[in-house]
Amino acid sequence: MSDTRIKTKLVDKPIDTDLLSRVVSEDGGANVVFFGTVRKTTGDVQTDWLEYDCYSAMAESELRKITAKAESEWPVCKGLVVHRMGKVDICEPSIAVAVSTPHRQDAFEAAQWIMDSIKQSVPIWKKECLANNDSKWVHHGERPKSTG
Amino acid sequence: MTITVLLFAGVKEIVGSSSVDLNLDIGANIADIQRELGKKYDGLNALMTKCAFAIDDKYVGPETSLIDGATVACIPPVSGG
Repeated sequence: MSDTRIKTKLVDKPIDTDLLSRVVSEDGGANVVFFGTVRKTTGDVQTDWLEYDCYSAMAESELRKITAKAESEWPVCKGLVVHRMGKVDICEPSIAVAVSTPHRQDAFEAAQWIMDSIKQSVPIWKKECLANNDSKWVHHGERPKSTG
Repeated sequence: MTITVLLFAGVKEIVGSSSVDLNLDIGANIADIQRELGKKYDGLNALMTKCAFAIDDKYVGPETSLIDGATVACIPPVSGG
């Protein structure tokens, strides 16, 4: 069996929403599947769509560091992290994190930690394309740092 | 010495290019790149204070020394997810 239990992918096509079948296993009785989807309204701002870009080589290696750490911290049977690139419309998934563990607390914790870590360190950026035809890159966070 | 800096997202948009070559003194470090970019491009100063830098796909600190011909990625605050 491969040591890499959580797969990672950057994709430029819609994310497959049937992720349970990709992570479920005989020993994984608890399966958390999280989708981040594009939101229309943020405060007073109306978004039409998002554009994602990344520094692909480093994004892949940072994702891998995060999932390797998750594999060492929680008893993950199988998992999958998929991030969409390019234009993503309202209600479409931009990210999916699926984690299968024997018991639910570990699955919830691992999925949340993976999501939080991605938002801290993986060089992926979104541009909000707004209903008023304006657009802006989102750089609200802190200085990025490795979490893996 | 010449350092190539890879630019992304808002930084790329402000500079108008996906990379820029900087001429820095021998012995320069990552913090010098940050200062030089902020000085050279209008509108970049505020964002530059929140940028991280990476060499060979790994984050490096401000004191990291540079060698002539190095390629450094400028990583503005990330917004994946």
